Amino acid sequence: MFVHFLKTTLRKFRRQPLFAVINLFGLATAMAVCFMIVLYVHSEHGFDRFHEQSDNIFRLSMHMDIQGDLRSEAVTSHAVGPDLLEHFPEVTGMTRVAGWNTPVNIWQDGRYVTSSQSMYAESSFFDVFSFKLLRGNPQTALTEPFSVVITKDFAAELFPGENAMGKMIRLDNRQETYMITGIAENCPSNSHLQFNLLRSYPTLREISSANFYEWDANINAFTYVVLANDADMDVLQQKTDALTHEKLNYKYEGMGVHIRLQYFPVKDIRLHSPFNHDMIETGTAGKVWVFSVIALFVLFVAGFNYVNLTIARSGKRAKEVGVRAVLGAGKDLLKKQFYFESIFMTAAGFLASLILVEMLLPFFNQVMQTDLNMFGAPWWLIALLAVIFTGLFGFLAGIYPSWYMSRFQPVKILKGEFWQMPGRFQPRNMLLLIQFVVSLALIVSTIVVFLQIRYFSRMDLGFDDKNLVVVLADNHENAQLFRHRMSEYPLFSEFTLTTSFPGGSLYVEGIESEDISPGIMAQRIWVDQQFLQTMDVRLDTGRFFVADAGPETEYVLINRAFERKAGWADAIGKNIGREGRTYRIIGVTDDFHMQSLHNEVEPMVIGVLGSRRQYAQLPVWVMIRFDETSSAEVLSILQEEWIRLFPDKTFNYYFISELISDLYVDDHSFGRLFLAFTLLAILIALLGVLGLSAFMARQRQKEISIRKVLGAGSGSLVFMMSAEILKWLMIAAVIALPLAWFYMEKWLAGFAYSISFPFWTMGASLLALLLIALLIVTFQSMHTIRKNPAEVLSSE
Amino acid sequence: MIKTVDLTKVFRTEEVETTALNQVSFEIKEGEFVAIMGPSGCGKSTLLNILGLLDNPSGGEYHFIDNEVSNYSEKQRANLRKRNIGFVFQNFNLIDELSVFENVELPLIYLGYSASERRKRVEEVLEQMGIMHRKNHFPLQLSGGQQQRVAVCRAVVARPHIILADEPTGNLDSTHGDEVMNLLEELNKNGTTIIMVTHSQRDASYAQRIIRLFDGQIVTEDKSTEFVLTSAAH
Ligand SMILES: Nc1ncnc2c1ncn2[C@@H]1O[C@H](COP(=O)(O)OP(=O)(O)O)[C@@H](O)[C@H]1O
Ligand SMILES: [Mg+2]
Repeated sequence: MFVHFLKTTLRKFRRQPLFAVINLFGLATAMAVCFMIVLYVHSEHGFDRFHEQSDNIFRLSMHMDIQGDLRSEAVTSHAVGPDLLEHFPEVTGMTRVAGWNTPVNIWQDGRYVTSSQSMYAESSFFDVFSFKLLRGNPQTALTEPFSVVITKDFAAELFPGENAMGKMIRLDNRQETYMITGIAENCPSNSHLQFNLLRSYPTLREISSANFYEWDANINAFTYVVLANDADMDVLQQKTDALTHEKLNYKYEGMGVHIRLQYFPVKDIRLHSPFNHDMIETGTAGKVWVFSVIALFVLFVAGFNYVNLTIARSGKRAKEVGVRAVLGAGKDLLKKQFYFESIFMTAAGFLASLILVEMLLPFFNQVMQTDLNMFGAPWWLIALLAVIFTGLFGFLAGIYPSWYMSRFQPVKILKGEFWQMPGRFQPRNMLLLIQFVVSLALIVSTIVVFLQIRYFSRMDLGFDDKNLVVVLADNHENAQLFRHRMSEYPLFSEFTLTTSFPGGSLYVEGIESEDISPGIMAQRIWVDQQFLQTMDVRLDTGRFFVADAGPETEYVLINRAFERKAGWADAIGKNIGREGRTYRIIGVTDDFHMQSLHNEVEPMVIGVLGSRRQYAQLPVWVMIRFDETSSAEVLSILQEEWIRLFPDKTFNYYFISELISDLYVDDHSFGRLFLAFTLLAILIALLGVLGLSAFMARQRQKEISIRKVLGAGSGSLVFMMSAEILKWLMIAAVIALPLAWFYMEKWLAGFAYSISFPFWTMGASLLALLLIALLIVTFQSMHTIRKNPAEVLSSE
Repeated sequence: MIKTVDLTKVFRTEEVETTALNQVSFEIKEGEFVAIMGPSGCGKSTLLNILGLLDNPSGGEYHFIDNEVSNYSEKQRANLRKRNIGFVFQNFNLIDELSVFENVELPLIYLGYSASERRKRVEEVLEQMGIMHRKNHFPLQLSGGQQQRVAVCRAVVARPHIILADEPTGNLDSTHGDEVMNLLEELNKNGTTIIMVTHSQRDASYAQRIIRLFDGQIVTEDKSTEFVLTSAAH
């Protein structure tokens, strides 16, 4: 019997391959999306649980109330951890991590290897956490100053093909040499701690002046404690508050400053940590929730469409079922056949979805900044999904026909009365409506997002960001030395020295003048005489600094934004200043964008480099414009010369165009995410249309035949068939378009420079969806319409 | 073998009540070849469906091989049916997705025969009906006459006691129609009881007896005089 079922099922597939493939594809896509979201949700919930003691590890957070100004940090001072360990028996273990946000460069075999995931870790690090050491002793690897533990991959990058254990390295061209005392397994991606280089904590004492004894000094250490199983959190919190008072709060009594330490479970960091400055994105619970809802929605809608379509098509089988019944197939057997077929098809869909997941995961990972892997999921999860997907959809798609079986009379079936479907099934229409609303709103939104991104990327920044690189030079003298050396290369055409650059950090001061009050918050930047020319910034009025005149330190230029803010018609000759020092304005530059286009151009005051006083605390950068060439070539020249000139100084550089595009990373991934969801929504909605029209075609087959006999043309019949679906599309438009308009206006308002809402997108999206829907309905109904009416009518 | 007493069938829809059969009583003996005739809508198909255990009567008795079956459940009827009755329809009712062989095999599958037994039986009957060379074709690749031949094969493969045929030649031209009638006659000669609904005098002439229905009632039950006439004309 099984063989017979299988044979029949496969034959059916072969008879209507297009239909079967479309239907399966829709189902598989929905399953794949759900699959990926389940992987995502599972992985998010699994963060930091691989530590053996994960239930007992807590991170200290510091909550500060400074005169009503509330701040929470995930870091404490270095002193807190040891004190807790000493005073509280509940605290059975402790480790600290610091300095994780400074990348280090290692000059090795004639090239730089950069670790952007380096940090200092206390020797108890491998006790508290379950990161594995492949080589070295976890107890002692981080006990001595200038010991480092690196990960397997980083070791391979530093010393390809060699055993890195015991090797000496120098970091950032500094004097000290470090010994590699351990090789760790690579960090699992579901860890909130991400490192590939760990320096021992005692190193920090040697090379920095950090204070390790005061609770209110150097608040930049992550402190992790292991709590005993029977620790009473309330009691511990009270004791901690008391200790905090003793160590710290007593100093600030009467000053309106109060500080509280709290214990935050490590396994909740990924989902629920509200603190900034983690090594990874945290507080993803909201996102997880949204995605879970999307998954359920997709599953529900796609499942409904699939079941709908399958049932509509299975109406074609009235005769077959009738014949089988007459020949003696019992009801149970027929039911079994229906269930077998639908479960077989959904199982095929599930297999297809596995392939889709494998294909789509890289894209998903890129958009979501995750590192999901289908084979990384536990087998029971995949098995569970297989059972749920196959069982659920298979059962649902089989249930209606089987239910019908339970009341059938073979006579009626043979007479063609088998398929009397419920006429106006409201949920079906509501669902189509929802699908249309979602698709329309998403299409409009996606177009708007992409138009805005395009607007960004084409906008005139006020300077030329191509072929521009900056190198950190500490001070003016080094900068001049480096510039001089670089000018020997014909590849480099222009040079300037500057304290700031687009996409870099900014220095802001309040600037005063006799006719403006209170003052204007302005960016301050010090540059040399070639700045305008190198950056390709336009001068509005007046003049720029000139070299022959010597450093014109008593003069400044401002930008148009400053002029506007001050309300001046002519700024030239005016005096501005700060703290008693005044400068005369000799020129006004056009506005140029130092920050992302999310922000407006801010007022700026440009001074000339020369007297160290003003900018002593600011680093000086050499900005170089190079001829069209690969950035790799530029980089290798800069690096080599830098090492030659300053063997013990860190080489730090940025390509301006990269910095600028980094400013829009979030916007791009937002756009991609929207695009992905839009495509998904459209696909699902179209399958919905396909299902509904198949259903309607079946339902109105007789009516169509009669109309045709009476002389109706194909056109009018297609129109008749489309009318219903078009009606729902129009209703959807009335709901979706204003909604999309409202939300996109809000989104656009978040940009200082944005397009105005493009109303044509509404018409375009509607038209696009309309055309595709019409196409499907036509395609679907032509089949019915082409049928010989005599045949249809005689079988009724 | 078959006996009805005051068999009645009433169809109720929302608006109307149709008495399709009104107190029909008759008896059919094993080995008979009976034709049921009458104008369209007089209840022939309804009667045949009840006789074929596809439907229950609204009233009266129906004795089928010593069982009073008028109140049998669908399950019981299906059981009796698949063992004892073969059907031939006007529009063949072959399953398009299945090959000739598989169509004929179907009743045996539902009766639970083993694969080898099925093969033997199907090939035997296909051979007998002269359609063996088509066994791997699909119904849509065959002519109407060939399709009806396959349908007859399917009807007899389980060796039923009775074959019910509802206008078996209705969709065939006269040559093919005669072919099918000859097959039925052959089966009857070998002992199978045959009950056939038909419009055609020519087909009815193969029967030994004609039951004439009019408006749900039997009007005459005669030994076919036409039978004599047409066989004389042969
Ligand atoms: N399922 C049904 N529901 C209602 N009326 C029916 C049904 N089947 C048959 N009838 C009615 O019963 C009568 C006899 O029909 P039928 O047996 O098909 O006639 P015949 O086969 O002799 O042409 C007709 O009036 C027909 O309309
Ligand atoms: Mg009839």
